[in-house]
Formats: sequence, structure tokens, C-alpha cells
Amino acid sequence: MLTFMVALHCEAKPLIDFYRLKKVDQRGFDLYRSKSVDVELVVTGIGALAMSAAVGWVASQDCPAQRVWLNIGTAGHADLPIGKLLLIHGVGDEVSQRCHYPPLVAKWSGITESLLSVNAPTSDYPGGAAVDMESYAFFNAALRFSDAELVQSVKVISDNKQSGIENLNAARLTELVTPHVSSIDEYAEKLQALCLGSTQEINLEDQLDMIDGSKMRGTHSQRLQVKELLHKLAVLDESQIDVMPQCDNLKELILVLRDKVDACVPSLKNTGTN
Amino acid sequence: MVDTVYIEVDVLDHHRTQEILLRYPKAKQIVIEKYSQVFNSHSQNFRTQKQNPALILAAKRNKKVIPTPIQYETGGGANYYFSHMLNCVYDCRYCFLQGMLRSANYLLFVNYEDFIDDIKQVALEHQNDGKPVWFFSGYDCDSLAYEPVTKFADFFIQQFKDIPNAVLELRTKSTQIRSLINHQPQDNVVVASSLSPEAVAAEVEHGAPPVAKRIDALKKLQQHGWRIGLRFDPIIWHQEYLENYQQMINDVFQQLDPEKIDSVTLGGFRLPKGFYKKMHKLYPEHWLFSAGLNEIEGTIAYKTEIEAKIFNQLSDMCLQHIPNNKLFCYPTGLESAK
Repeated sequence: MLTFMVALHCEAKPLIDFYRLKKVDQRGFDLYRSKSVDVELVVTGIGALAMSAAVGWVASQDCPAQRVWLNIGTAGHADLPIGKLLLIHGVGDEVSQRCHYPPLVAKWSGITESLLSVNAPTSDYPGGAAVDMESYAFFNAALRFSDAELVQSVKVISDNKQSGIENLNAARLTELVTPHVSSIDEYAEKLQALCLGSTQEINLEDQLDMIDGSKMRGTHSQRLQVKELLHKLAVLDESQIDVMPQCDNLKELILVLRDKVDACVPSLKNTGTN
Repeated sequence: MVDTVYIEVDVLDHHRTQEILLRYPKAKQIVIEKYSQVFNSHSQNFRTQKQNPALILAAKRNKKVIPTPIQYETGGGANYYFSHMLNCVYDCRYCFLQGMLRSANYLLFVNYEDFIDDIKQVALEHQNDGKPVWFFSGYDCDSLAYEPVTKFADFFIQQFKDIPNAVLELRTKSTQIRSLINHQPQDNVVVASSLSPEAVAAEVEHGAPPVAKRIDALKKLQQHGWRIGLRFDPIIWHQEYLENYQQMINDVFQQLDPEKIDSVTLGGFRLPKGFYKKMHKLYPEHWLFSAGLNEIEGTIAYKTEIEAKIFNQLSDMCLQHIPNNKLFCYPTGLESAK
């Protein structure tokens, strides 16, 4: 699942068009989803509070095993040219003075920059850092729901010392984001590829449903032990979990499964794991 | 290839930092206050980071030299270990670092001189022991694998010349032996190579050199006059373990001169329970974390009967080539396997 978090609709529009996202009828925030791909976009509104609320809101909609969070938006910078695309490599919060460094595992071919999140629009640009109003809150909130490597922020420079914020409007912000959509998509794909190389859960739903629907009774702790033993069996010899042993209760099932696990000796001739 | 280098502001001007940065001209350089801002922080995922680790250049500020666990010894006096680096360029599935750390980035402490000061101090405290004090390197990293960048061995070997009552053991799977070959062999340096049967290495030691090349490197070091040690650790239990370990042990002792081998150690696959749980969560699909294991006093290891059998068989194999006083066993659930 790829979730874009964007403060303004005008910044989101190029992405909505690119991914052909459709608005979902939901109360709370404007949510857009694709039909064919696992892509969604939330228009969060301006500022830290709006961003934090939106992250929590969309995370509560569903809970995929792996979710890539990508904050896209515009930012100011003292010297960088208008329209420049940046990956944020470190973000600080003006109020709390705390900082976060997103791990840069997915390859990014462009430039990276640090960023300071402030509470109100400003024409003061701290030396060497971009400025926005949401990124720190975005990271702070999204890190509760995903691994840090999958939570990233990409910004387009919208204003600098020479060209301040006075001339910015919705049409201009859309115009600034539009040329970078394919680069953003390329980076999003790399982030999603990281998920493929990370933990792969083994699905035991069928087996657990069968146990829950059977006459076998037991405690919650015994059910967890059964799950753990089924998992080990699935890893060591998948054929062993095709047919569930018939037992009177979970205590008995645990003993049978434990014997089966103990009987498994891995062969390097058959393994193909990493 | 490292594409991001984080640099602690305090070591920005360190000569070793500057030399290392020259090796990565295209890497992004990000200056940080303290390495803890990027290493092991909240929500990091070791397995994901391992796909593209960054390099962190920092200074080690707290205790640098630590006593080894009590049972660990290879025939010397007091035993200590130190880590100039955390994490490794290899990706061994059994490595405890996956359970100990949340970050897979390479954390290199560039203040080698401070390590040497502490090592000298510890050696001084043991100067009347009668036996040399051992300093083990390569437990939280591989001692030689990153040598072209770190020049760790090149520096430390020279420094140990001035510490006569100390022995440096470089634990490695690497074949990066150029810096050793360029030095005259020293009596107080031992290169200890971790070896597994080729089939095991191919399965669980990702990125590490083929075992044949490791043996070849050991042969060159031995011919050059360096003391070498063999570490069959961890021993991985599997259906074909007997044939595979027999084959490897035969290969090793055919190619190396057994009389000039400093020590051989056997160690079972064992992990603190907390580490095991984290590693199993990272790699739930891997058989290594499901086969033949149980818990003994907070340590996850092979069941006692499995471990006893393995240790007895492998000890016998080794004792056909070396005397008893060169073999050291570290079983988890046994008093002694021999």
C-alpha cells in the first residue's frame, strides 16, 4: 500500500491525475484511491495538527502489513531554485527542537536536503534547510504505523529569498509539482520494492479457522502455542499442515504438533530461503 | 557501494574521516550531531536497511574495551573484546546483530587511537598475569571485510607491536588479507577465520566469500607466518550436517598445516531469547529459527541431545588432526562435549 499525504489539493492534483485516483466518499479528510493499484492519497490541510490527524485517520481506515508513507508538497529554501525537487534527509521541528533522520534505503538520484517545520508561513529561511509546515508532524505520526525506511518526504521548492511567498497561488503550486510526478512515482516504486525484500508473513488463516470451527477447546495461550507450532511446521515442511490432526482439545493438538516439529530436520537440498 | 554517509560533526575534520570520504566521492554526506540520531533509532527495520546500508562515521566515547563472557577463551589469560565497528558487510542469517540492533547501517568509530589507549591501559593492569591478555575483534563486525575502507587491521597490528603482553585476535570471514601480507607476521596477532561447510555458507552466509577462498586466504597467511585460528561457529544442524562438516574439516586440514594452527573452536547456534525473538520476527520464513531449538536458561539453542551429538562428532573429526589442547568447545547446554 502506497499512501500519499499532501497538504493542499492543488499540490495533490498532479498525483491524482497521474494515478487516476477517485475520490472516496468519506467523512474527515479528502481521500482518493486507485481502482487497480494499491495507491491512496489524503489531502490533509495545512499545518502540523492537520497532518497528524490525517495520518491517524487514514491509518485507522485499514491496516496493511506494509504501508509506504510519502509526504509530497512544496517548501521554501533560501538559495535553491524554484521548482527544484528534494528528498528530505533530516527534519527538525521549530517548536520542540527535535529532529528525525529518515533512513535513506531506497535509491534517490536527485538532491537531498534538511528541512525545518515551522508553525506559520514565513519568509525567513534558515541557512541550508528547506522550510515547510507539515513534514515533522508527518514523520512523527506515520512512524507509529510503519518502519522508518518506508516513511519519506519529497518537496518541490516553491519560494526562496529572491522570489518570496507573495506570488504563490494554487495554480502555481500545481504547476510546480506537475513536472516531478514521474520522478515521484519512480521513487515510490523503489520504496514499495523495499517491502518485497522485508518480512514475509506466513498465512495460517485457513488452519486457524479450521481449529476455531472444530470441537477442540483450549485457552488463548494454547491457541497461540498452536499458531507458533503450525508456523514452524509450515516453514520446515509445508505438507505437514495440509491435513490438521484430529484431537479432542488444544492441549492434545499441541503435543501432536510438537512431535511433528521435533521430527523435522531441515535439508539444505530442499531449502530456497534467504 | 555506500551511497549515504552520515558524519558526526565532532569527527568531520578527523584525518580518518577525510580519507574514508575520499573513497565515496558520489555519496551524499549528511552531518549529524550524534550517531544515535540515525543509528538504532525508533522504528528502524534491520532487514529493510540491510538492502542498502549507509555508513556512519562517529567517535566511540564510552567504554571501548569489554571483558568477554566468562566461558570464552582460547588458552590465553584474561579476555576482552572491542568493536571499532558495528554491523557487517555480510548478511549471515544466524548473526546475533540482527537481534541486537534495529539498524543495519555500518557504524564506524574512527577514533582508533582512543581504542589503543584503552587497550594499553587494560594490558597494563594485566602485566603480572603470567599469561598474555587477549583482545578479540570482530564480534560486532567482521575484522577484515571492510579493510580497504577502514584500514583497521593495518593500524591495530602496528600498535600491538608496542603491547607485548597482549594478543589481538582478528575474527573474520573475509579474504581481504593484503594489509596482513604487507606486514611482517607478529607473534601477538592471530587471524581467526569463521568457517562453515560450503552448502551451509551458501544457504545462510549471504555475501561472504566462498569457503574455498577463505581457506585459500588462510593458507596464504599461514605460509606468510601469521598465526591462524579456525572457528567452526556456529555449527548449523541439518540433515546432511555430518557429511558436510566432515568434508569441510578434511579440506581445511589438508590445505593448512595443522601443527601451525593456533586454536580451533566449536560453537553451537545459540542466541539470547530476546535476540532470537527479534530475528525470528524479521525472518519468520527461515528454517534456521524453527529447527531443533529450545530454550535453556534464557538462551535459545539446539536441544541438548542434538548439540551433544554434534559436538562429540565434530570434536572427534578435529581431534584426528590437532591435539586436545588446541580444541575449545562452547556448547550451550552441556558441561563439556569432549
